[in-house]
Amino acid sequence: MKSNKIFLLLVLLGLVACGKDGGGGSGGGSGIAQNTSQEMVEATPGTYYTVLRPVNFHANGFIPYGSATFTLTGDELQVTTNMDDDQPVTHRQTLHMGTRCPTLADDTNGDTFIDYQEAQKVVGPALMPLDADLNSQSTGEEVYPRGSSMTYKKSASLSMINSDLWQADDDPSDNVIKLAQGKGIGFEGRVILVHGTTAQSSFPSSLASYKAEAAHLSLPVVCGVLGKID
Amino acid sequence: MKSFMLIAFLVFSYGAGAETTEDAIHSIVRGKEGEPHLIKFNSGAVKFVEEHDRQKLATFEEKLKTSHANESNKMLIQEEADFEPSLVSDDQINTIFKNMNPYMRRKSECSDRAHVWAWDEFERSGTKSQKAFLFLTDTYIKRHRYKWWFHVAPMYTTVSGQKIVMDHQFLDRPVTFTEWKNLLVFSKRECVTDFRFIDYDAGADQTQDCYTKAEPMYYYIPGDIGARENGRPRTGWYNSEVNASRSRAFFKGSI
Repeated sequence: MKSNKIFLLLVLLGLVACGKDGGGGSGGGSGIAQNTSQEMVEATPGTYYTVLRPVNFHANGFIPYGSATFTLTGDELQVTTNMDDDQPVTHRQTLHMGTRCPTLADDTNGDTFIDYQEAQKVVGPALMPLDADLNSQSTGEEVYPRGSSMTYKKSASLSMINSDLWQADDDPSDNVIKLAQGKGIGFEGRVILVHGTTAQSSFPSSLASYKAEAAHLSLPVVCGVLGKID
Repeated sequence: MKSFMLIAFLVFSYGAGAETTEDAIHSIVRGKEGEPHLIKFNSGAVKFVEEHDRQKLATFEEKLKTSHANESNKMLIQEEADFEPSLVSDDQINTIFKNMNPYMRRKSECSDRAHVWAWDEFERSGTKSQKAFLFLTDTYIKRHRYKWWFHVAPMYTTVSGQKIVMDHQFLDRPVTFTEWKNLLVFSKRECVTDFRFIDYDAGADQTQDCYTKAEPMYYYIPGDIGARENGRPRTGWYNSEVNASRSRAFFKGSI
């Protein structure tokens, strides 16, 4: 059974698609299968919630935290995220296929930070960028909440989200995936990862980043695993 | 015993004024020449006031005088002279963590959260916990431009004698006290454990990075530790404090 699931996930990863976020081509890497081994359960009406906890405790003298809430009512999905982090930068945020958040044990290069690539290996491919348009992976691309103490609130249609996820993948080389036709998106047990802090002189040069952006903007800051609460 | 405490809690609810500590200034550390001044709040937050900004410093000094003048008497809801933390099993540790209220308000403070988490578990199971307090030195704060000077979380003692910290705000699992400290203190240096808070508050040993204390669950903010050292120990809960902490720190799911 388990091997069947892993095979299915590998097939899904082969379908890979898109044009926005998640990025970092090799980000998924060999860790994807093991970190997405929990089968996706299609979303049902209700509320999904997670505390967003710090990934890098020492990024900037202020330990960030926040929360994310997905509320599905009928076909309407409302997503709210917030974070108190004291850093006036853009915060790229994405729902990922993975089922756990990175810890210091995932700091494979030993530089004491979990950088973009190290985090991607744990959280797996991106499923839904939490950007300007939740209905589509590509529309609203790269428009994310900004600021210290950020708040993000968007509504979308579940049927439109699924319809978009069933489209052909136009960029299998990136880290944003599509779903098999007829397989609806699920939220329970899935990971939300938020990035971005201000530059700091003590950041090591070993920090990997998303595409060519500055490493501090790619740095994972908070993460959480959604659970259904009602 | 527990029912007595609950009754006492309700009885003494009447007339006890709400405590608001989130904006109160704990102390001001004047910087030396070329250094910023540190404004330390009861919430744990630190504000940096640059050396030349005398007007801002004067404003904070005035607020500090006011906050000391506003300290009011509070109603004790249970007395216990010799506090000993309960011993809990590994299974209980996981259950306690799962039961912690995760619905934290934005910009809520660690002291409020820790107080409510400790009370809720005490009310639920009668388990007596401790608070793990971590204090940073001024040199450490300035060196890393930290925006906080202390942090606190509930701590439980296992039957095998381990101290386990439940910091639901920052960690998704119970961790040992050492792991908790190492996550919060970048240098991972050992912290000073044998000290008086009032000495730390008066300047501490600035060659150190951090100080830690384990206190009975009733201790809410660092000032309470200083009060004990000055002969005013805490031996119980204050209902107004718990209620006010709850309303500031959580938005759902509270008892």
